[in-house]
Amino acid sequence: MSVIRLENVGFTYQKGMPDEKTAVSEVSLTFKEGSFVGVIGHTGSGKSTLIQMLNGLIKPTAGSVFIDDEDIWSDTSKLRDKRFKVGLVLQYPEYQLFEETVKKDIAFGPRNLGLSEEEIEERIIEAAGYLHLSPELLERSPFDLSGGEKRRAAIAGVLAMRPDVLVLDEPTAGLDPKGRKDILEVIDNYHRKENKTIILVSHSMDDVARYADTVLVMNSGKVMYYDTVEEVFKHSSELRETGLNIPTVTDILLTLNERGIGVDTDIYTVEKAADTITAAVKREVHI
Amino acid sequence: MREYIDFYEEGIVSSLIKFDNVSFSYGKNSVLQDIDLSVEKGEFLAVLGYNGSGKSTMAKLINGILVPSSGKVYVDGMDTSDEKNLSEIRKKAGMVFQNPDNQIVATIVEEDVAFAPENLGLDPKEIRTRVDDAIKAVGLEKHIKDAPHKLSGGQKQRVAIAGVLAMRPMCIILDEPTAMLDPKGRSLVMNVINRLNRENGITVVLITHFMEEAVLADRIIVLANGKIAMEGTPRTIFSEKDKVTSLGLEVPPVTELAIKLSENGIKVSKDIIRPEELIEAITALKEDIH
Repeated sequence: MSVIRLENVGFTYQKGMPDEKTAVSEVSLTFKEGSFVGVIGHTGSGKSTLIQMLNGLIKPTAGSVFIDDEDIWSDTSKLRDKRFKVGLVLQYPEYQLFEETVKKDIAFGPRNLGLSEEEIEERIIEAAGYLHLSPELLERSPFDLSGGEKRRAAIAGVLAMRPDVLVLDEPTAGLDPKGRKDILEVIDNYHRKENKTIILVSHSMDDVARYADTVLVMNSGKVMYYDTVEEVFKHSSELRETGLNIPTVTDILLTLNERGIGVDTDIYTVEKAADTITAAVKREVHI
Repeated sequence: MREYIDFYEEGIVSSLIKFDNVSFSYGKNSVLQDIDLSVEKGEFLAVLGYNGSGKSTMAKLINGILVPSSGKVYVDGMDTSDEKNLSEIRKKAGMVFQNPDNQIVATIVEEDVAFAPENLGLDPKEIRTRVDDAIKAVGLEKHIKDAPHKLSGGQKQRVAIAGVLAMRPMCIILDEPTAMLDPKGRSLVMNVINRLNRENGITVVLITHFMEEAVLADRIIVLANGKIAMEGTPRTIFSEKDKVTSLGLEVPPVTELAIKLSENGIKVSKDIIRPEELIEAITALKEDIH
């Protein structure tokens, strides 16, 4: 199991040029083993740049990234091995499908790990199982699939690497509600069964509240909050000021509270919101 | 031209967009079947449906990027399958797509917005007025001289909308315009769309996967398997949670909450679609007693 630690990490695009732009600065934090971290922040807050540094896809211009207490850039000959521990699913990953069949596409990563054919087959079956890709679908060309299927095929390719940490950048963007839910359930299931670390970048506070245990809020390239879901969503007014929102139901509960209805406000899911409102109404109205 | 006249004679010209028994297939692949639909002038229509249900095809049929395999699509009475009508149809019905980066052609915001009116060969003064009006309508006055690539996704998408507005269209068709935006960008773009419809009377056809956006519409149609599976006001559509879910969609979180409360015996209506309504309903319960 791998732990990722960032120490004073920064990244400046076009460093030293007149149009240099700092995307990330002074980020120090640890992604704990087995945690499910939701990363939020508006466009340009540095989220995508940050996560691309987690597996060495880009090299920080300041500070260090440690995987299992080893600075991944200290010995670049080892970078490849480190990189395999952190699977990165970029935005619109289906654009990176390229093989003749879905199966070959999923096999690409494991083959690069130097695994035997049996092991590769095993990895394909496992990843396809998680992503609900049928044996028939595995034989098809990735280009014949629907949008949601392509997305799942692309994620399967990363899962087949059995990464200790799975990082996903807005994996549900552009999908319909069912497609969104399917992908999130897959990630949640993988997290529960394998106890792997998940880092999920999302614009949906409702999704983050439902699935994550920890929230990282990025603002202007820096860490604004990094704490449990409960602690972070307590800062509703600060979050709103930076252009973020809070889960719909939390917003409703806060307003009800302002209007003198005694509901709990540290609630982020529909089920629990219904419970607290029901309790408050029965207490304050029917008695 | 003949058909245009027929339409007036038949008295159905108040429909700005009309699908008359429209089917469309890519080769053997049938995408839309027997669609009948009218969109009235000034209406705000949301089109929902899972990925691959035919939504984008429908949008492309409206402004003649695609023509029906059978049946007819009319825009303001003009047949989209008649090539002579196309330039007029595209002036009346402008399109905005999902990815703003694919729609911006110039290096300065105002030049991008001016691109289409310049191609119409309009008088420079007229172009200036249209560009200024369009940029104002989307709230980007401060960015008129900026380079589009330096703008955020939401701002770029508003530039794309301004580019369409500069054509002075009767109708805007937006194909998932907020899919790639963050919550703030999404809400600013939706505010612009809503205002163009309510204040400027522009007909809006909005294709979206976000139920909170569909709630703003006058009417929703849900596509499934190339057909119109549901049609009605947002309230009637979202009151049928089971059906909506079975079509790969969801109801807004506030509706889900209202349904749960109602099941818990709290007297709130199950067809609540906006957070304010639920807050009012619950506050009213309390005030009734006191």
